Amino acid sequence: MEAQRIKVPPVMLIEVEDSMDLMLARNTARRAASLLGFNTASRAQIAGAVASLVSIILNAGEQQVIHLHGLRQGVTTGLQIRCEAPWLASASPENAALALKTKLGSMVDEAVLVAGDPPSIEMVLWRSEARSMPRKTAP
Amino acid sequence: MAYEVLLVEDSPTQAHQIRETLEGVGLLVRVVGDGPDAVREAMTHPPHLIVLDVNLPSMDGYQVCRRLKRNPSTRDIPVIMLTEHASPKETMTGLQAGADDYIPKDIFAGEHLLDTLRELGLIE
Repeated sequence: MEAQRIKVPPVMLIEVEDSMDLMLARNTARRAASLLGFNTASRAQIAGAVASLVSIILNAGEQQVIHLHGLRQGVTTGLQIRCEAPWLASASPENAALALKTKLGSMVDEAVLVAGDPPSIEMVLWRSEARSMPRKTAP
Repeated sequence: MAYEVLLVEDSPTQAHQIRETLEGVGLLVRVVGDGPDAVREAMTHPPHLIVLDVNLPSMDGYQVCRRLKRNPSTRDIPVIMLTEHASPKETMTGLQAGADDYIPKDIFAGEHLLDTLRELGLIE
């Protein structure tokens, strides 16, 4: 049986209203990833995923809040990125899910459209050994 | 001991700004302005870190990074790409080329650069 997913700190919010929020969003994403112990390359990857989500929101002509929080499943830690996606309410779930995977799938481990009123976009990047901060040693 | 950084940047203005940031935290900085020089310099005088722009004459930063990471004598040198090309696709291209970090040149660039230097053990 798969271990239950538990929401853990940090919990951060990014308000997306216009393109000026892109820089702040990337910065917030990097900080959240750093607090969760992701290495520098994975922080850049997460910042890229959040930047993609900001673009999706702005291209849809929306203003939304992106929620970032830690996730624990058994001994594995990850970062979840989530936002409501009311503009996808009338889209075919299969097509929307496929579009998300195409747009975001290379940057995260999971990119799904969660049914609901409104539906939500959820992404997760898990912190594997290769994505973890190395122990500090001078070069 | 002061750690050495090879800064690969073709814009003298930006090179000056980045150099000031790096020297301000006690690092020794050498600057080269294009990709082939960067690869040559990294092989002949391996630095502790390479800070690499993407937009370079004759060979772009992604190509430079791939060459450095393919070469056994340079592949362990950390590479930070510092760039105006900050789309998610470009970020992934940089990371897939082997960069250890990909930092957009925005108002947070200095802060992120210093965080990464700390992480790499190059500064306190």
